[in-house]
Amino acid sequence: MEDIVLKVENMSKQYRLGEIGTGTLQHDLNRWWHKVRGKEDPYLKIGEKNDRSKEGGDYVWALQDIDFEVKRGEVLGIIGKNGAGKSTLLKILSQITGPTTGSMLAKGRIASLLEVGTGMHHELTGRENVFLNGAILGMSRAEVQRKFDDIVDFSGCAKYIDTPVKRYSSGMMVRLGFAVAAFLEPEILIVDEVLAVGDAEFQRSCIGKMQDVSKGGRTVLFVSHNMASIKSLCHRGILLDQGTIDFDGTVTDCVERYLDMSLKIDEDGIVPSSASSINTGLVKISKIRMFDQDRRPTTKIPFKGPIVLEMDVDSKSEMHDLLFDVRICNTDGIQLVHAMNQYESQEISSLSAGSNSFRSVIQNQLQPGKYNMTIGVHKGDGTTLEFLEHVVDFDVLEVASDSDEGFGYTFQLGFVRFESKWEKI
Amino acid sequence: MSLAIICSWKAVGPCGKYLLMTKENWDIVIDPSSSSSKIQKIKQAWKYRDLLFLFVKRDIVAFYKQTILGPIWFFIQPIFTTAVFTLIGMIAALETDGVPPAVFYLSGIVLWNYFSEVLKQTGETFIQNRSIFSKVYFPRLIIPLSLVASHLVKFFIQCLLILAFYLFFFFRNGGFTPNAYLLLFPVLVLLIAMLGMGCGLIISAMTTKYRDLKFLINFSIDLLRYVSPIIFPFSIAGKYESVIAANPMSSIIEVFRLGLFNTEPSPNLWLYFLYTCIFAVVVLWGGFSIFSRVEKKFIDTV
Repeated sequence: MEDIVLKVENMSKQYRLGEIGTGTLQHDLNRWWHKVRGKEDPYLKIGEKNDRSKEGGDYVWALQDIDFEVKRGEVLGIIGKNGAGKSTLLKILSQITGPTTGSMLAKGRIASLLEVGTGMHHELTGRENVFLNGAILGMSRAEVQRKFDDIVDFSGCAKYIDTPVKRYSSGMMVRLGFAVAAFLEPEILIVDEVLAVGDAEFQRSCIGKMQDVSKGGRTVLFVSHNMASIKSLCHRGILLDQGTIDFDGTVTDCVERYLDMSLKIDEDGIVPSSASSINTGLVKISKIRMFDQDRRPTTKIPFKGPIVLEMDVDSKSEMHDLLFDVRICNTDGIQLVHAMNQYESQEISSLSAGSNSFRSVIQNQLQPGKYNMTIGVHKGDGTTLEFLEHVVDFDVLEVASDSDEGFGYTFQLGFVRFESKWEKI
Repeated sequence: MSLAIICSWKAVGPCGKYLLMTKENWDIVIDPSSSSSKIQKIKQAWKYRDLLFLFVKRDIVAFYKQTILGPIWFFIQPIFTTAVFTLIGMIAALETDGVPPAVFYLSGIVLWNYFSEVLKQTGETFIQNRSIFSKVYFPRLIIPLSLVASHLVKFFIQCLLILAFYLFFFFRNGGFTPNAYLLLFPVLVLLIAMLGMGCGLIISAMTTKYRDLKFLINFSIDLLRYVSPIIFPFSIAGKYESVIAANPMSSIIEVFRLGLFNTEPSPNLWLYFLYTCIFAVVVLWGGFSIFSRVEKKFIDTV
């Protein structure tokens, strides 16, 4: 048996839905009365699976019977759709909240990085904040002192280190915050999607830093929606779905399964009712059909042929200034192409109450291969009303639809082809 | 039950032998039933003493950043309160045991402020620090402790004000002398900190889910100020003396004044003081217990 540093056993977490008021007081009193008589908590038996699209029920299991072990030096990726329980799991592992049942055992110090720059105070200087933030993350003063120069170097904020951080740009604050965290030396490091911030160069140095951490024999738990960084960092993946572990294995298999798992439209284009990863109930995409340019229903799009989408959208009320957002992703889940109504001049942006249908034609310059589509409806301010992740799978064929020549190569580079002109000068 | 599961769990130890894993082999054990002892909690907090120090520094430094008068602002509030009390005292012809009213009121106000501010702010520990508590773990007790300490600094600065007033009136008017009871001052400060923190911990734990108590506390603290001998001496309470003494702060203020001004103490003063000591220990113990129970899961309800 190998050296296990983290062990989670039968862990479940129940949350109560709705507001806290007299109703919860009644339940609390009942729970207390059961406890006094030495009986089990009456509300533990009820509660539903963590499925956000269904209504009803006061309790929900955000996590249910989670069991896993992590070995020393392992880099574990945790993936799952929005609401699968990733954040709850991280919160329990980082001791921010406790589990309802089950236990967690760990060896050594756990440091968690759920947010960059937690506890930084705007009025204090960069230097003071490095010490404060380091202490919050569990470093001693001497430890920060020893690493101070490296931290400042890594952040690239040397010039501003004695200026209050309120004068910093948001990017600089993030860099400073991450720099402190990067020099933490815990046995177990828990990282939430902090890499989503900062510019590309900074993200690369973050990933590099995390790889160093794991090479140093320390254990990393990493949560991200970015399948590329999960794949490049982790050895092993855990896929969460509706609060339970759906898959635990190599990261490649895990990512593949994650992308397959998303509910797809059926043959008639009907969207399964629980496919939404975010839904407010106000707007619902009920049907998506895909056509080629000859109006034949298909999910095999000829090379260079436009993608025609027809969507049926049900709306509870009349709405204006909406964003319809289509993202095309590759099989790693990386978003390659984005199309949106507001980019265009002849935009359609309102829905009337009841059912609406509209068509969108997307110029296709994708190289042949397998792709999938994520479709969302958002309010003008960015609030998401409906979000269907990877809901349509489609292929781009090597052959073109008409007399145009097809792809015509035996190798494929890149995912998108741009037109280019070549001439002698 | 949890212990049974843990004990049956076997793993290879560092020396390569099969070892029976017990709770002690894991550094962190979390399950809903277990709760680390108070001693362990204090040990944990001690590990984070650098954080405690930095929080105190942050609170104090951030208080006067971008102000011109800086720490002088710590003096403004007690001076103005003293001025108002002196005015009220003159209108209502309140007695002050023959001590100049300004220094008499000030001594009570500064002590009371330390108590009420520690209590109010500790009482909001969970609500005020929700955003940081929801992102990172450190012993939650660090926050109340840092509040006690940063207000202590403020308190000591305000004590300089008492000293200044004291010396001024001592040399100008005279008529009062300190006595040996002034040596009890550190004990008094400790008692105030214990009372303020203890009550605050209880309130913080009780307001995470139901906020009702918060409103009650805020105005009762303000009312309680008038049921303690701040604006009047203990000696004029007469038959209501025991009512006033029910407020544990009363005897602390009275002992402080006894040491400062050598006034005639109430015959029961030391009995009341004993009551205050017991009260402080009990309330701190109780506060600590209930706080420890709540800190694990408050983030779900706060």
